[in-house]
Amino acid sequence: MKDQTDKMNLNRRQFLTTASAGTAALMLPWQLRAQEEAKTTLALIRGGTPVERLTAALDALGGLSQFSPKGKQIVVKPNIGWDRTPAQGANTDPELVGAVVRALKDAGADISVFDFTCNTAQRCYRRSGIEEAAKAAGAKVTHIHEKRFDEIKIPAGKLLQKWGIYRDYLEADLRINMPILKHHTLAGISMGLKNLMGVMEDSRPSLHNNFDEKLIDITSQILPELTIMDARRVLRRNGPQGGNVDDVEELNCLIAGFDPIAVDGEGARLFGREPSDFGHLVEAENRGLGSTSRPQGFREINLS
Amino acid sequence: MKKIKAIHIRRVVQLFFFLFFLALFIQARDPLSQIPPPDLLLQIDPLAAILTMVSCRTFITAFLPALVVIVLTFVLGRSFCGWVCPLGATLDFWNRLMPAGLKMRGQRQWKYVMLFGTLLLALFSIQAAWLMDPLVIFTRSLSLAIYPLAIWGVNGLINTGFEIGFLEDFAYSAWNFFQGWLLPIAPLHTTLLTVTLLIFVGILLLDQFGRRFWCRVLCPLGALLGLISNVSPFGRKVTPECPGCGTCSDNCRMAAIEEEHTRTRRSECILCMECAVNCTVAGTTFTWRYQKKGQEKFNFGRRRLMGTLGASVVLGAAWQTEFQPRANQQYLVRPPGAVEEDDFLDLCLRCEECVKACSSTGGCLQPSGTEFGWNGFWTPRARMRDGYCEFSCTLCGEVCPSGAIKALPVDLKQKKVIGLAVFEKSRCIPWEQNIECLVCEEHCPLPDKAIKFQLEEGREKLPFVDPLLCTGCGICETKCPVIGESAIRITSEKEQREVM
Repeated sequence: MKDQTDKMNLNRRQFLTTASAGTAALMLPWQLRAQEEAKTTLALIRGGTPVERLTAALDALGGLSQFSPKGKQIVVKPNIGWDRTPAQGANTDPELVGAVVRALKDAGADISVFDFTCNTAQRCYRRSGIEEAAKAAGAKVTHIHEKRFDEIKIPAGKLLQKWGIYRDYLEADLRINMPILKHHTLAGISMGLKNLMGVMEDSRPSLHNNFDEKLIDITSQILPELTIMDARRVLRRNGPQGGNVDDVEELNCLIAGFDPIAVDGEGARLFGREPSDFGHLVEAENRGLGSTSRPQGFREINLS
Repeated sequence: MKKIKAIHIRRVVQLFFFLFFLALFIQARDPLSQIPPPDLLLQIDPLAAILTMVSCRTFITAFLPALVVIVLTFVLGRSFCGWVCPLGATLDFWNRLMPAGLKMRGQRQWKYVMLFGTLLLALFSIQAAWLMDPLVIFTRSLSLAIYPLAIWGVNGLINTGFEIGFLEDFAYSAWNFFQGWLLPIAPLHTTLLTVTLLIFVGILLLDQFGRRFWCRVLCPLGALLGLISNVSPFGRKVTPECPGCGTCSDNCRMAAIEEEHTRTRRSECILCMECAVNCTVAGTTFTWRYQKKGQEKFNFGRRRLMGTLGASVVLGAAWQTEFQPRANQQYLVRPPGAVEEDDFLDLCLRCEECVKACSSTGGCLQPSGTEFGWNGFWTPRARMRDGYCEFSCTLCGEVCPSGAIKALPVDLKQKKVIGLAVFEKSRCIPWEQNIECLVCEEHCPLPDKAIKFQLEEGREKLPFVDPLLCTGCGICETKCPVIGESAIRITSEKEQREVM
């Protein structure tokens, strides 16, 4: 019996040792996964210059090299919707667009920049400063031609089953959405998802009723790989085109991330609102396109 | 090597000016470069200058460059017609394609009827340069007919490329290349294309009655320059060796050489140099010595004078007294910077430069037909359903040669009221169907938004216009998603005109 007890004691010790070692071994993946989750997926950068913010954001997200951009066809889609100057906060900051293009160009990519404008395209491209900045940085700046839209199917569409999407966007190896954070009468706020309207055929008139459902129907099929949101000059009122510099607040921020819905959620908070205030964000979240709440990989960096 | 002769120099100069004026025309677009001025061709036009100034009884400094042509004619005779005029050049090119004989040599006096007729109309304060002025006709034909057709052709080729798989990328590159300097916002439609084209083709076809028919028989500018060139010290001279072979007079496109070959009708000679080149004994030269001999005595004829006077009075009276329905005025929206209507009709040359320039941006300007009376025929009006007045664009005023549309600085232009937006609630989506639609408000370019919303329980936002803010730019009318006529329309209500 004693022998047996001894044996059992031994066994217990043995068991505990084995168990703890085993537990430790089982914990290892959890540890690893926790480390993986600590990788930044969403970055909010405050202060500094547009270039510094961009560098900080890209560093935090793990650099552009993860996309192995060399030789790839990359679409950079800023908001160039209006015949407005950069100071009026209606279009994406040209400095930031230039910096993104330059970073991609340095990595050896082919970049094209375009948008489906509301005012005359040439005027918007010129006055926004984006054409000049993007060209100087080495991008191809093109105009939207009505014959280059390809119809995509939307299998789970609530209201729309198909829509025309600009071919250059569909065929790109990597899509980088570059919205500007601003007020918008219809959507309440204009950010990444709204900015994707610039690759949609005949976007404005027919989408403007039941806007939230329709917008999410289409964007669900064309989400970009990376979103870099400009929040340098934020149009607070009278969006989407503003025109009065008094309506613009200098926030000097930038939000970048892989999940477009998360970026928009963060943008809503930066705007001083909640993502749930905006129908299209709620719709996107309900459909499981992404999450508007802060992910574990959220990182805020203060540069100033 | 072939010896360079005067006629070769003339052809080169003529081609140069033709291409130069063509380039100026294409350059009347966004972004605009003012050097050289895109409206130069019409500002050097002495006929347009005189008729405009007489009909509005004001001296217009914009026409000062016309003095250059007047001085040129005093010095070198009617050389403008042979060396500079782009319509004359067109006729010379046309003659190479469709050689015409030299039939029908007479009827030279008719152009003086045109000149005095238009002058008389100007005295009655009716601008008639646009009817007969060759430079106006040339510019207008380019703007309303040839340019749209050329664009149709270029776009057609590009679109065909889009249909053919392997050509698509090439077509797209070509399209991107032409965007911004040649191609306007596509597709380009102009009203009155056919009538403008027919007049232009008519002038070309008249050439089949004899070379330079228009210039010899009809052109009032040619008549004016002809009168001046009668006193020019420069002209054709024939040496005594002339055998009288008649080669020169047989080949003269202007029928400027009289029967005995040595005498020249100074008012007709456009210094094309053909006689000097063709002369069998090299006895024809052009010299500075003033020759009294060879001046055709100007003889208008009492009957013709009275006829012109009578016709002008009747035509002018008919023009002015024609019934103009008051209701039509509702949608007569003039470009921003247009002067008051009476002065506008006097000043506007109907050259359609503004229409051409506008097609490169908002594209709202189109020539009006007879809907505002014959008096308003071919004058620019803003048709907002098919285009809108771009908020920060000042092109129409900058390219207007006569000042009918004043060039406004951007900040003044943005405040300039050209009309007022009015809702037709029975067609408006939120008003009629209670469905959300904010397209008009979204596009309103005013920082404070001229379209506001009325909030009512159980209803979508109901848009209305703030008449104190609206400038009538019309982008709401263009972008309104309703099929056909817009649910918001610009009327000329509250428009502000400039003082001449």
